[in-house]
Amino acid sequence: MDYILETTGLKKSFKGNVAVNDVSIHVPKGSIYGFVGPNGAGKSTIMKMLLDLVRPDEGEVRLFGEKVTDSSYEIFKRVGSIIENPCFYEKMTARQNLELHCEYMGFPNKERIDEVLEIVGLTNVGRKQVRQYSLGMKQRLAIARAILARPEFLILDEPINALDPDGIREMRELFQQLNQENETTIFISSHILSEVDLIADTIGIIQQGKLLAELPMEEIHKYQAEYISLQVDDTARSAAILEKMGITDFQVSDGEFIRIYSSDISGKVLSEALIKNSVGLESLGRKHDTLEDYFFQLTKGGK
Amino acid sequence: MAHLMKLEMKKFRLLHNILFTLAAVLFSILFITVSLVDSMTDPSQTKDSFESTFLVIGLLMSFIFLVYSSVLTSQLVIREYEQKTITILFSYPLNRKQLIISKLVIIMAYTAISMTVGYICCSAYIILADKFFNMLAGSFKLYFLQTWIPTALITVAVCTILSLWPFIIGMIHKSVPATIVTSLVVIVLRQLMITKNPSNQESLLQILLVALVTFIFSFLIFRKKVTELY
Repeated sequence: MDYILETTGLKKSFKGNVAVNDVSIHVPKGSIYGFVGPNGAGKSTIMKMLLDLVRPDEGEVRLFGEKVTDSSYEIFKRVGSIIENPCFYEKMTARQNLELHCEYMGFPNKERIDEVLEIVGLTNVGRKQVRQYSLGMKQRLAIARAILARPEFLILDEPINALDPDGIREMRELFQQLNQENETTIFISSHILSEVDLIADTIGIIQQGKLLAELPMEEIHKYQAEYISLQVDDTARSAAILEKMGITDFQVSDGEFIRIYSSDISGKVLSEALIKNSVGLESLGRKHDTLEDYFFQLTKGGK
Repeated sequence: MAHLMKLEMKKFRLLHNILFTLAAVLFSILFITVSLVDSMTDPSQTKDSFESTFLVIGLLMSFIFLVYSSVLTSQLVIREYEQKTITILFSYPLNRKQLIISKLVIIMAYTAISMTVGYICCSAYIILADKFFNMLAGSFKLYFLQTWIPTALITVAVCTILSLWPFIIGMIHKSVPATIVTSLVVIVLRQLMITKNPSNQESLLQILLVALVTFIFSFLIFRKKVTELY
Protein backbone atom coordinates (compact mmCIF):
# COMPACT_ATOMS: atom_id res chain seq x y z
CA MET A 1 0.00 0.00 0.00
CA ASP A 2 1.05 3.57 -0.66
CA TYR A 3 1.77 5.25 2.67
CA ILE A 4 2.19 9.00 3.06
CA LEU A 5 3.47 8.51 6.58
CA GLU A 6 5.12 5.46 8.02
CA THR A 7 6.92 5.14 11.32
CA THR A 8 8.82 2.09 12.48
CA GLY A 9 9.59 1.25 16.08
CA LEU A 10 9.58 4.80 17.43
CA LYS A 11 10.90 5.03 20.97
CA LYS A 12 11.43 8.05 23.17
CA SER A 13 12.18 8.49 26.86
CA PHE A 14 12.32 11.72 28.82
CA LYS A 15 14.55 11.52 31.90
CA GLY A 16 14.07 7.76 32.16
CA ASN A 17 10.29 7.86 31.65
CA VAL A 18 9.21 6.05 28.53
CA ALA A 19 6.91 8.37 26.56
CA VAL A 20 6.75 6.45 23.29
CA ASN A 21 7.38 2.73 23.07
CA ASP A 22 7.84 0.91 19.78
CA VAL A 23 5.21 2.79 17.78
CA SER A 24 4.74 1.89 14.13
CA ILE A 25 2.12 3.96 12.33
CA HIS A 26 0.94 3.57 8.76
CA VAL A 27 -1.08 6.37 7.18
CA PRO A 28 -2.39 5.39 3.73
CA LYS A 29 -2.46 7.99 0.99
CA GLY A 30 -5.79 9.79 0.82
CA SER A 31 -6.96 8.66 4.26
CA ILE A 32 -8.10 10.56 7.31
CA TYR A 33 -6.21 8.87 10.12
CA GLY A 34 -7.62 9.44 13.60
CA PHE A 35 -4.98 9.19 16.28
CA VAL A 36 -6.68 8.74 19.62
CA GLY A 37 -5.60 8.18 23.16
CA PRO A 38 -5.96 9.64 26.64
CA ASN A 39 -4.05 12.75 27.71
CA GLY A 40 -0.39 11.98 28.23
CA ALA A 41 -0.52 8.86 26.03
CA GLY A 42 2.29 10.19 23.81
CA LYS A 43 0.22 11.58 20.91
CA SER A 44 1.86 15.01 20.86
CA THR A 45 5.36 13.59 21.25
CA ILE A 46 4.81 11.36 18.23
CA MET A 47 3.39 14.25 16.20
CA LYS A 48 6.47 16.31 17.04
CA MET A 49 8.64 13.43 15.87
CA LEU A 50 6.87 13.48 12.49
CA LEU A 51 8.11 17.04 11.99
CA ASP A 52 11.54 16.29 13.46
CA LEU A 53 10.84 18.64 16.38
CA VAL A 54 11.63 15.77 18.75
CA ARG A 55 14.29 13.28 17.78
CA PRO A 56 13.34 9.61 18.50
CA ASP A 57 15.75 7.55 20.59
CA GLU A 58 15.08 4.64 18.25
CA GLY A 59 13.12 4.04 15.09
CA GLU A 60 12.44 6.22 12.09
CA VAL A 61 9.82 8.37 10.44
CA ARG A 62 9.17 8.29 6.70
CA LEU A 63 7.17 11.01 5.01
CA PHE A 64 6.32 10.52 1.34
CA GLY A 65 8.69 7.57 1.44
CA GLU A 66 11.63 9.71 2.52
CA LYS A 67 13.32 9.28 5.89
CA VAL A 68 12.95 12.39 8.07
CA THR A 69 16.40 13.65 9.03
CA ASP A 70 18.22 16.96 9.59
CA SER A 71 18.65 17.43 5.87
CA SER A 72 15.24 16.25 4.63
CA TYR A 73 13.50 19.55 5.37
CA GLU A 74 12.40 20.01 1.74
CA ILE A 75 9.57 17.49 2.29
CA PHE A 76 7.95 19.93 4.73
CA LYS A 77 6.93 21.94 1.68
CA ARG A 78 4.20 19.33 1.19
CA VAL A 79 3.10 19.29 4.84
CA GLY A 80 0.77 21.57 6.80
CA SER A 81 0.67 21.25 10.56
CA ILE A 82 -0.71 22.31 13.89
CA ILE A 83 1.37 21.18 16.84
CA GLU A 84 0.24 21.81 20.43
CA ASN A 85 -1.28 25.20 21.17
CA PRO A 86 -1.44 27.56 18.21
CA CYS A 87 1.43 30.07 18.33
CA PHE A 88 1.90 33.16 16.22
CA TYR A 89 3.82 36.41 16.13
CA GLU A 90 1.38 38.06 18.50
CA LYS A 91 2.12 41.66 17.52
CA MET A 92 1.46 40.95 13.87
CA THR A 93 -2.01 40.75 12.33
CA ALA A 94 -3.47 37.48 11.11
CA ARG A 95 -2.77 38.56 7.54
CA GLN A 96 0.89 39.42 8.31
CA ASN A 97 1.34 36.06 10.01
CA LEU A 98 -0.07 34.29 6.96
CA GLU A 99 2.04 36.39 4.58
CA LEU A 100 5.13 35.40 6.53
CA HIS A 101 4.02 31.77 6.34
CA CYS A 102 3.75 32.06 2.53
CA GLU A 103 7.29 33.46 2.38
CA TYR A 104 8.77 30.74 4.55
CA MET A 105 6.91 28.00 2.69
CA GLY A 106 7.97 29.43 -0.65
CA PHE A 107 4.29 29.66 -1.62
CA PRO A 108 3.83 32.55 -4.06
CA ASN A 109 0.04 32.79 -4.25
CA LYS A 110 -0.82 35.51 -1.70
CA GLU A 111 -4.44 35.66 -2.91
CA ARG A 112 -4.91 32.36 -1.15
CA ILE A 113 -4.67 34.27 2.18
CA ASP A 114 -8.09 35.88 1.65
CA GLU A 115 -9.44 32.52 0.63
CA VAL A 116 -8.31 30.69 3.79
CA LEU A 117 -9.34 33.56 6.07
CA GLU A 118 -12.80 33.27 4.58
CA ILE A 119 -12.82 29.48 4.89
CA VAL A 120 -12.12 29.65 8.64
CA GLY A 121 -14.42 32.64 9.17
CA LEU A 122 -11.81 35.27 10.07
CA THR A 123 -12.30 37.65 7.12
CA ASN A 124 -13.38 40.58 9.24
CA VAL A 125 -10.64 40.28 11.85
CA GLY A 126 -7.69 39.60 9.53
CA ARG A 127 -6.27 43.06 10.24
CA LYS A 128 -6.43 42.71 14.01
CA GLN A 129 -3.27 41.89 16.00
CA VAL A 130 -3.23 38.20 16.93
CA ARG A 131 -2.70 39.01 20.62
CA GLN A 132 -6.28 40.33 20.68
CA TYR A 133 -7.67 37.01 19.46
CA SER A 134 -9.56 34.54 21.62
CA LEU A 135 -8.20 30.99 21.84
CA GLY A 136 -10.92 29.80 19.46
CA MET A 137 -9.94 32.44 16.89
CA LYS A 138 -6.29 31.48 17.21
CA GLN A 139 -7.25 27.87 16.60
CA ARG A 140 -9.11 28.89 13.44
CA LEU A 141 -6.11 30.93 12.32
CA ALA A 142 -3.83 27.95 12.98
CA ILE A 143 -6.06 25.83 10.73
CA ALA A 144 -5.96 28.58 8.08
CA ARG A 145 -2.16 28.58 8.25
CA ALA A 146 -1.96 24.80 8.08
CA ILE A 147 -4.06 24.57 4.90
CA LEU A 148 -2.75 27.78 3.28
CA ALA A 149 -0.02 26.34 1.06
CA ARG A 150 -2.29 23.53 -0.18
CA PRO A 151 -0.36 20.74 1.57
CA GLU A 152 -0.69 17.14 0.46
CA PHE A 153 -0.46 15.99 4.06
CA LEU A 154 -1.97 17.66 7.10
CA ILE A 155 -0.74 16.91 10.63
CA LEU A 156 -3.31 18.23 13.08
CA ASP A 157 -2.71 17.91 16.81
CA GLU A 158 -6.02 18.44 18.60
CA PRO A 159 -7.23 20.95 16.00
CA ILE A 160 -10.73 21.33 17.41
CA ASN A 161 -9.62 22.26 20.93
CA ALA A 162 -11.23 25.50 22.06
CA LEU A 163 -13.68 25.60 19.14
CA ASP A 164 -17.41 26.03 19.77
CA PRO A 165 -19.85 23.34 18.49
CA ASP A 166 -20.48 25.32 15.30
CA GLY A 167 -16.76 25.68 14.74
CA ILE A 168 -16.19 21.97 15.31
CA ARG A 169 -18.79 21.11 12.67
CA GLU A 170 -17.40 23.66 10.19
CA MET A 171 -13.85 22.34 10.60
CA ARG A 172 -15.02 18.74 10.29
CA GLU A 173 -16.69 19.62 7.00
CA LEU A 174 -13.57 21.50 5.90
CA PHE A 175 -11.29 18.52 6.60
CA GLN A 176 -13.66 16.17 4.80
CA GLN A 177 -13.83 18.53 1.83
CA LEU A 178 -10.03 18.83 1.67
CA ASN A 179 -9.75 15.07 1.84
CA GLN A 180 -12.35 14.39 -0.84
CA GLU A 181 -11.76 17.25 -3.27
CA ASN A 182 -8.01 17.86 -2.94
CA GLU A 183 -7.08 14.33 -1.87
CA THR A 184 -5.30 15.73 1.16
CA THR A 185 -4.20 13.00 3.54
CA ILE A 186 -4.98 13.99 7.12
CA PHE A 187 -3.42 12.76 10.35
CA ILE A 188 -5.56 14.10 13.16
CA SER A 189 -5.21 13.55 16.88
CA SER A 190 -7.99 14.13 19.30
CA HIS A 191 -9.27 12.92 22.60
CA ILE A 192 -12.86 13.69 21.49
CA LEU A 193 -13.69 10.21 20.24
CA SER A 194 -17.14 11.02 18.85
CA GLU A 195 -15.52 13.58 16.55
CA VAL A 196 -12.87 11.14 15.30
CA ASP A 197 -15.62 8.56 14.81
CA LEU A 198 -17.37 10.98 12.45
CA ILE A 199 -14.37 11.94 10.38
CA ALA A 200 -11.69 9.25 10.33
CA ASP A 201 -11.47 6.26 8.01
CA THR A 202 -8.45 4.75 9.77
CA ILE A 203 -7.78 4.68 13.48
CA GLY A 204 -4.70 4.37 15.64
CA ILE A 205 -5.23 3.94 19.38
CA ILE A 206 -2.40 4.77 21.73
CA GLN A 207 -2.10 4.34 25.45
CA GLN A 208 0.91 4.84 27.71
CA GLY A 209 3.15 5.31 24.70
CA LYS A 210 2.10 2.06 22.99
CA LEU A 211 0.03 1.73 19.85
CA LEU A 212 -2.70 -0.70 20.92
CA ALA A 213 -4.46 -0.97 17.59
CA GLU A 214 -4.35 0.39 14.08
CA LEU A 215 -7.18 -0.51 11.75
CA PRO A 216 -9.69 0.85 9.24
CA MET A 217 -12.92 2.21 10.72
CA GLU A 218 -14.84 -0.37 8.63
CA GLU A 219 -13.18 -3.09 10.68
CA ILE A 220 -14.28 -1.46 13.90
CA HIS A 221 -17.81 -1.11 12.61
CA LYS A 222 -17.81 -4.69 11.38
CA TYR A 223 -16.51 -5.93 14.70
CA GLN A 224 -19.04 -3.91 16.62
CA ALA A 225 -22.28 -5.75 16.16
CA GLU A 226 -25.60 -4.03 16.41
CA TYR A 227 -27.33 -4.65 19.72
CA ILE A 228 -30.64 -4.03 21.47
CA SER A 229 -30.33 -1.81 24.49
CA LEU A 230 -32.84 -2.32 27.29
CA GLN A 231 -33.27 -0.04 30.27
CA VAL A 232 -35.10 -1.90 33.01
CA ASP A 233 -35.80 -1.54 36.73
CA ASP A 234 -34.72 -5.09 37.61
CA THR A 235 -31.78 -6.46 35.65
CA ALA A 236 -31.58 -9.77 37.53
CA ARG A 237 -35.19 -10.65 36.78
CA SER A 238 -34.84 -9.47 33.22
CA ALA A 239 -31.76 -11.64 32.74
CA ALA A 240 -33.69 -14.67 33.99
CA ILE A 241 -36.53 -13.94 31.59
CA LEU A 242 -34.11 -13.56 28.67
CA GLU A 243 -32.49 -16.89 29.49
CA LYS A 244 -35.91 -18.51 29.66
CA MET A 245 -36.54 -17.14 26.16
CA GLY A 246 -33.35 -18.84 24.99
CA ILE A 247 -31.33 -15.61 24.68
CA THR A 248 -27.81 -16.03 26.01
CA ASP A 249 -25.76 -13.44 24.15
CA PHE A 250 -26.43 -10.48 26.40
CA GLN A 251 -24.57 -8.34 28.87
CA VAL A 252 -25.70 -6.33 31.90
CA SER A 253 -24.08 -2.95 32.40
CA ASP A 254 -24.41 0.08 34.68
CA GLY A 255 -27.03 -1.59 36.91
CA GLU A 256 -30.05 -0.85 34.73
CA PHE A 257 -28.94 -1.52 31.14
CA ILE A 258 -28.89 -4.80 29.24
CA ARG A 259 -27.31 -5.23 25.82
CA ILE A 260 -28.61 -8.09 23.69
CA TYR A 261 -26.33 -8.97 20.81
CA SER A 262 -28.71 -11.39 19.01
CA SER A 263 -30.02 -9.29 16.18
CA ASP A 264 -32.85 -11.63 15.15
CA ILE A 265 -35.05 -10.92 18.16
CA SER A 266 -37.86 -8.46 17.71
CA GLY A 267 -38.23 -5.58 20.14
CA LYS A 268 -41.95 -6.19 20.32
CA VAL A 269 -41.51 -9.78 21.57
CA LEU A 270 -38.94 -8.62 24.12
CA SER A 271 -41.06 -5.82 25.52
CA GLU A 272 -44.13 -8.03 25.75
CA ALA A 273 -42.19 -10.72 27.64
CA LEU A 274 -40.72 -8.23 30.10
CA ILE A 275 -43.96 -6.37 30.77
CA LYS A 276 -45.88 -9.64 31.18
CA ASN A 277 -43.39 -10.57 33.92
CA SER A 278 -43.88 -7.20 35.64
CA VAL A 279 -40.46 -5.76 34.74
CA GLY A 280 -40.49 -1.98 34.43
CA LEU A 281 -39.21 -1.16 30.92
CA GLU A 282 -37.87 2.41 30.67
CA SER A 283 -36.48 2.24 27.13
CA LEU A 284 -35.70 -0.13 24.31
CA GLY A 285 -33.76 0.57 21.12
CA ARG A 286 -31.37 -0.77 18.52
CA LYS A 287 -27.86 0.68 18.74
CA HIS A 288 -24.36 0.40 17.30
CA ASP A 289 -21.22 0.30 19.41
CA THR A 290 -19.31 3.56 18.91
CA LEU A 291 -15.60 4.16 18.62
CA GLU A 292 -15.81 5.13 22.26
CA ASP A 293 -17.03 1.65 23.19
CA TYR A 294 -14.25 0.07 21.17
CA PHE A 295 -11.70 2.41 22.72
CA PHE A 296 -12.75 1.55 26.25
CA GLN A 297 -12.85 -2.16 25.52
CA LEU A 298 -9.31 -1.91 24.27
CA THR A 299 -7.82 0.44 26.84
CA LYS A 300 -9.58 -1.07 29.84
CA GLY A 301 -8.74 -4.63 28.86
CA GLY A 302 -11.93 -5.91 27.26
CA LYS A 303 -15.60 -6.28 28.20
CA MET B 1 21.20 31.96 3.05
CA ALA B 2 20.51 35.35 1.43
CA HIS B 3 16.88 34.29 1.11
CA LEU B 4 16.75 33.36 4.79
CA MET B 5 18.28 36.70 5.80
CA LYS B 6 15.71 38.51 3.69
CA LEU B 7 12.96 36.63 5.51
CA GLU B 8 14.42 37.35 8.92
CA MET B 9 14.84 41.03 8.06
CA LYS B 10 11.04 41.22 7.84
CA LYS B 11 10.89 40.56 11.57
CA PHE B 12 13.91 42.77 12.35
CA ARG B 13 11.98 46.10 12.45
CA LEU B 14 14.77 47.94 10.65
CA LEU B 15 13.35 51.44 11.07
CA HIS B 16 12.91 50.91 14.80
CA ASN B 17 16.54 49.82 15.10
CA ILE B 18 17.88 52.69 12.98
CA LEU B 19 16.04 55.06 15.31
CA PHE B 20 17.65 53.33 18.27
CA THR B 21 21.11 53.80 16.72
CA LEU B 22 20.43 57.52 16.20
CA ALA B 23 19.18 57.89 19.76
CA ALA B 24 22.25 56.04 21.08
CA VAL B 25 24.60 58.29 19.11
CA LEU B 26 22.80 61.41 20.34
CA PHE B 27 22.98 60.12 23.90
CA SER B 28 26.73 59.49 23.53
CA ILE B 29 27.26 63.01 22.13
CA LEU B 30 25.29 64.45 25.04
CA PHE B 31 27.32 62.38 27.50
CA ILE B 32 30.62 63.55 25.99
CA THR B 33 29.41 67.15 25.90
CA VAL B 34 28.51 67.11 29.59
CA SER B 35 31.93 65.69 30.42
CA LEU B 36 33.77 68.22 28.19
CA VAL B 37 31.78 71.22 29.46
CA ASP B 38 32.35 70.09 33.03
CA SER B 39 36.13 69.93 32.58
CA MET B 40 36.12 73.27 30.69
CA THR B 41 34.15 75.21 33.28
CA ASP B 42 35.56 73.70 36.46
CA PRO B 43 38.83 75.58 37.18
CA SER B 44 40.12 72.68 39.30
CA GLN B 45 40.06 70.37 36.26
CA THR B 46 42.14 70.37 33.12
CA LYS B 47 40.53 70.00 29.72
CA ASP B 48 40.06 66.48 28.44
CA SER B 49 42.52 65.32 25.82
CA PHE B 50 41.59 63.95 22.42
CA GLU B 51 43.08 60.62 23.43
CA SER B 52 41.02 60.20 26.60
CA THR B 53 37.82 61.43 24.92
CA PHE B 54 38.31 58.95 22.11
CA LEU B 55 38.69 56.19 24.73
CA VAL B 56 35.38 57.28 26.27
CA ILE B 57 33.74 57.08 22.83
CA GLY B 58 35.04 53.50 22.50
CA LEU B 59 33.66 52.58 25.93
CA LEU B 60 30.27 54.09 25.18
CA MET B 61 30.00 52.39 21.80
CA SER B 62 30.96 48.96 23.08
CA PHE B 63 28.72 49.23 26.16
CA ILE B 64 25.61 50.49 24.36
CA PHE B 65 25.78 48.25 21.32
CA LEU B 66 26.86 45.08 23.11
CA VAL B 67 23.92 45.40 25.50
CA TYR B 68 21.63 46.21 22.57
CA SER B 69 22.90 43.20 20.63
CA SER B 70 21.79 41.04 23.56
CA VAL B 71 18.35 42.66 23.41
CA LEU B 72 18.21 41.82 19.69
CA THR B 73 19.37 38.26 20.38
CA SER B 74 16.55 37.91 22.89
CA GLN B 75 14.00 39.30 20.45
CA LEU B 76 15.09 37.44 17.35
CA VAL B 77 16.33 34.15 18.75
CA ILE B 78 15.60 33.37 22.40
CA ARG B 79 11.97 34.55 22.35
CA GLU B 80 11.25 32.34 19.36
CA TYR B 81 12.12 29.40 21.63
CA GLU B 82 10.37 30.84 24.68
CA GLN B 83 7.14 31.56 22.82
CA LYS B 84 7.36 28.33 20.80
CA THR B 85 7.17 30.15 17.45
CA ILE B 86 10.37 28.26 16.71
CA THR B 87 8.25 25.11 16.29
CA ILE B 88 6.52 26.88 13.39
CA LEU B 89 9.82 28.02 11.88
CA PHE B 90 11.26 24.53 12.19
CA SER B 91 8.23 23.08 10.36
CA TYR B 92 9.17 25.01 7.23
CA PRO B 93 11.20 23.59 4.36
CA LEU B 94 14.32 25.40 5.58
CA ASN B 95 17.68 24.44 7.00
CA ARG B 96 17.22 25.08 10.72
CA LYS B 97 20.81 25.87 11.55
CA GLN B 98 21.11 28.27 8.65
CA LEU B 99 17.93 29.94 9.84
CA ILE B 100 19.49 30.69 13.23
CA ILE B 101 22.81 31.67 11.60
CA SER B 102 20.98 34.19 9.42
CA LYS B 103 19.45 35.75 12.53
CA LEU B 104 22.89 36.00 14.16
CA VAL B 105 24.46 37.48 11.02
CA ILE B 106 21.79 40.20 11.03
CA ILE B 107 22.47 40.97 14.71
CA MET B 108 26.25 41.01 14.19
CA ALA B 109 26.00 43.16 11.06
CA TYR B 110 23.71 45.60 12.85
CA THR B 111 26.12 45.79 15.80
CA ALA B 112 29.13 46.38 13.54
CA ILE B 113 27.43 49.00 11.37
CA SER B 114 25.88 50.87 14.31
CA MET B 115 29.17 50.96 16.22
CA THR B 116 31.00 52.24 13.13
CA VAL B 117 28.38 54.94 12.56
CA GLY B 118 28.56 55.82 16.27
CA TYR B 119 32.36 56.06 16.19
CA ILE B 120 32.29 58.29 13.09
CA CYS B 121 29.60 60.62 14.45
CA CYS B 122 31.09 60.97 17.94
CA SER B 123 34.66 61.44 16.65
CA ALA B 124 33.49 64.04 14.13
CA TYR B 125 31.60 65.73 16.94
CA ILE B 126 34.65 66.11 19.21
CA ILE B 127 36.75 67.38 16.29
CA LEU B 128 34.10 70.01 15.42
CA ALA B 129 33.42 70.86 19.09
CA ASP B 130 37.10 71.60 19.56
CA LYS B 131 37.37 73.51 16.31
CA PHE B 132 34.47 75.85 17.09
CA PHE B 133 34.42 75.95 20.91
CA ASN B 134 37.93 74.85 21.83
CA MET B 135 36.52 72.24 24.19
CA LEU B 136 39.49 69.85 24.28
CA ALA B 137 43.13 70.21 25.22
CA GLY B 138 45.34 70.79 22.17
CA SER B 139 44.01 70.63 18.66
CA PHE B 140 43.09 67.82 16.31
CA LYS B 141 45.90 66.57 14.08
CA LEU B 142 45.27 64.41 11.06
CA TYR B 143 47.78 61.82 12.23
CA PHE B 144 45.46 61.04 15.19
CA LEU B 145 43.46 59.06 12.67
CA GLN B 146 46.39 56.66 12.25
CA THR B 147 45.65 55.45 15.78
CA TRP B 148 41.91 56.11 15.88
CA ILE B 149 40.93 54.16 12.78
CA PRO B 150 42.69 50.88 13.71
CA THR B 151 41.54 51.25 17.32
CA ALA B 152 37.94 51.74 16.22
CA LEU B 153 38.13 48.87 13.74
CA ILE B 154 39.52 46.50 16.38
CA THR B 155 36.86 47.53 18.93
CA VAL B 156 34.10 47.06 16.35
CA ALA B 157 35.48 43.66 15.32
CA VAL B 158 35.92 42.43 18.89
CA CYS B 159 32.46 43.63 19.97
CA THR B 160 30.87 42.01 16.92
CA ILE B 161 32.48 38.70 17.89
CA LEU B 162 31.54 39.18 21.55
CA SER B 163 27.93 39.85 20.57
CA LEU B 164 27.68 36.07 20.10
CA TRP B 165 28.12 35.40 23.82
CA PRO B 166 24.60 36.48 24.85
CA PHE B 167 23.39 33.92 22.27
CA ILE B 168 25.74 31.20 23.57
CA ILE B 169 24.75 31.57 27.22
CA GLY B 170 21.12 32.48 26.55
CA MET B 171 20.58 29.35 24.47
CA ILE B 172 21.63 26.98 27.27
CA HIS B 173 18.29 27.41 29.04
CA LYS B 174 16.63 29.53 26.34
CA SER B 175 16.50 32.39 28.86
CA VAL B 176 16.09 36.09 28.10
CA PRO B 177 17.51 37.31 31.46
CA ALA B 178 20.60 35.12 30.98
CA THR B 179 21.04 36.61 27.50
CA ILE B 180 20.96 40.22 28.74
CA VAL B 181 23.10 39.61 31.84
CA THR B 182 25.73 37.88 29.70
CA SER B 183 26.27 41.06 27.69
CA LEU B 184 27.06 42.98 30.90
CA VAL B 185 29.43 40.26 32.10
CA VAL B 186 31.18 40.25 28.71
CA ILE B 187 31.72 44.03 28.91
CA VAL B 188 33.27 43.75 32.37
CA LEU B 189 35.51 40.85 31.32
CA ARG B 190 36.66 42.74 28.23
CA GLN B 191 37.54 45.77 30.35
CA LEU B 192 39.52 43.58 32.74
CA MET B 193 41.42 42.15 29.78
CA ILE B 194 42.25 45.38 27.96
CA THR B 195 43.14 47.58 30.95
CA LYS B 196 46.17 45.33 31.47
CA ASN B 197 47.44 46.24 28.00
CA PRO B 198 49.46 49.46 27.59
CA SER B 199 47.45 50.44 24.49
CA ASN B 200 44.10 49.85 26.24
CA GLN B 201 43.28 47.61 23.31
CA GLU B 202 43.29 43.90 22.64
CA SER B 203 46.50 42.49 21.22
CA LEU B 204 46.27 40.48 18.00
CA LEU B 205 46.80 37.27 19.95
CA GLN B 206 43.98 38.14 22.33
CA ILE B 207 41.64 38.91 19.42
CA LEU B 208 42.40 35.58 17.80
CA LEU B 209 41.96 33.77 21.11
CA VAL B 210 38.61 35.46 21.81
CA ALA B 211 37.43 34.66 18.27
CA LEU B 212 38.52 31.03 18.56
CA VAL B 213 36.86 30.44 21.94
CA THR B 214 33.68 32.20 20.78
CA PHE B 215 33.41 30.14 17.63
CA ILE B 216 34.09 26.87 19.46
CA PHE B 217 31.31 27.57 21.95
CA SER B 218 28.96 28.77 19.20
CA PHE B 219 29.63 25.53 17.35
CA LEU B 220 28.83 23.49 20.47
CA ILE B 221 25.59 25.41 21.00
CA PHE B 222 24.62 24.78 17.37
CA ARG B 223 25.28 21.09 17.79
CA LYS B 224 23.51 20.63 21.11
CA LYS B 225 20.98 23.36 21.64
CA VAL B 226 19.71 24.93 18.44
CA THR B 227 17.56 22.01 17.32
CA GLU B 228 16.71 20.85 20.84
CA LEU B 229 13.17 22.06 21.52
CA TYR B 230 11.79 19.88 24.30
